[in-house]
Amino acid sequence: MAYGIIGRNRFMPSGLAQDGTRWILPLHVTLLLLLAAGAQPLGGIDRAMCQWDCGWYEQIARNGYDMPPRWTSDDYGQASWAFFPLYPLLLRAMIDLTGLGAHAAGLAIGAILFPVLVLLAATYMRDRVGDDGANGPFRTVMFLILPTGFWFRLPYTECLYGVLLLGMLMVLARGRTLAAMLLAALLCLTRPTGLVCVIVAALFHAFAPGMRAPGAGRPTRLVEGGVVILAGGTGLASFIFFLDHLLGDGLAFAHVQAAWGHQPHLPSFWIGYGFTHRRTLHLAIAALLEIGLIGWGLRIGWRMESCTLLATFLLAGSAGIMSIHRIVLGNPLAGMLLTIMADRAPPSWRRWLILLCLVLDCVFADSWLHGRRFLA
Amino acid sequence: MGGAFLPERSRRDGRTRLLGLAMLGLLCGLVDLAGLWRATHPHVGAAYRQLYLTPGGIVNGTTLRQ
Repeated sequence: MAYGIIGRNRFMPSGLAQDGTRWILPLHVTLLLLLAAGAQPLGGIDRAMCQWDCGWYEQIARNGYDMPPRWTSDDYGQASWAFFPLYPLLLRAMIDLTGLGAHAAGLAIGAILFPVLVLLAATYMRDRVGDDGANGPFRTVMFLILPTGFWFRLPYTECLYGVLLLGMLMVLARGRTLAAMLLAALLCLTRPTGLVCVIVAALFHAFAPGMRAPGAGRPTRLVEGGVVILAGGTGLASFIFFLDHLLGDGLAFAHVQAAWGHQPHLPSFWIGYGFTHRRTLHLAIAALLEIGLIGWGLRIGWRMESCTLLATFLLAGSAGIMSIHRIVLGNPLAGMLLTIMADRAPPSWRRWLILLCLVLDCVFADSWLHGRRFLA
Repeated sequence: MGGAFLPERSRRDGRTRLLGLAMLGLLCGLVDLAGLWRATHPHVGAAYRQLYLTPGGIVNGTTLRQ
């Protein structure tokens, strides 16, 4: 993120409308309406969208973490403290503020945050690769309809995480360190991978030559990067204190992962495992695609973004293959790399790429609404 | 004449900002150290230890399908 591209003095860029951001809300609402129409026979969009981990988040939002683990033979030992608290807190606040049910409140959070995420991503990409005519609108629309963006519409943590991550990167680049510290702490309260993202981004801020801005010398950058890492650690530490008070084990969120079959191994082990089991074959393929995407990102010079994704991949891939597609490809940095890849394809491919994304969106939505597990 | 003092004032503001950030960082660092200490010193019962802190302590449908 070179200074000349994302400068300290530019908070909100001019000419947003030229980026295709005017399409964000209409397109977002249209896709939501289509999703609602598809979900109508299944009991409504709010009910049909709440699958898998959504139930855990709702349980935490309603009852807090003070619930015993599950004891049935299938999920023996699984417990709510595997899930980080910020999203359930937001869900609880939305329920209390609006009077909506938990399903509808989760859907509303995604519906509000996703356009914000797209706006941040459009701004980030515009600052990163520049304004160039029709490419801005194409990038914005692509990011919005990417099949991997389906995770952002779910009542899951992905959208909140993405907004906090992009927000932190952008305010850090503009020298708004206090805001970056706050966002880093919140990011670390959202998902277990938050702290590695904060560390990589802050190290790049402190040391990468292209990140230095006029008037912000190395000592300033070192202090800014250092305090952002420490603030992220404080966010995680607050969850550790809470779990220590509740259970006597501050790392309970990590230890309980064993109940989901997560064990420490090299990512190569888990990828090999994925290829030898039919249930996880798609995850192993996704892991290889992610490695390819990260390599491509490094090649085109998106070093900080690619290293952040790599750190996320290594952390998640060291514990298991489950959900590796969602954890990495559901990160907005991966979404932006995919968008830039589409942007660099021949212009004649664009309409076909948009069509392909829309078709895949329909396939993913149908699969999710019917409770199939492959996106979970 | 006031303009001549601006660079000096700006430098002083910059130093004050850095000092403020460093103090805040120090506070965060202390909280982080306390969190690290709590994380590495669990105080749990035998049942919890057997289930979550012993490798292979949990066998359920999910782990068996792995």
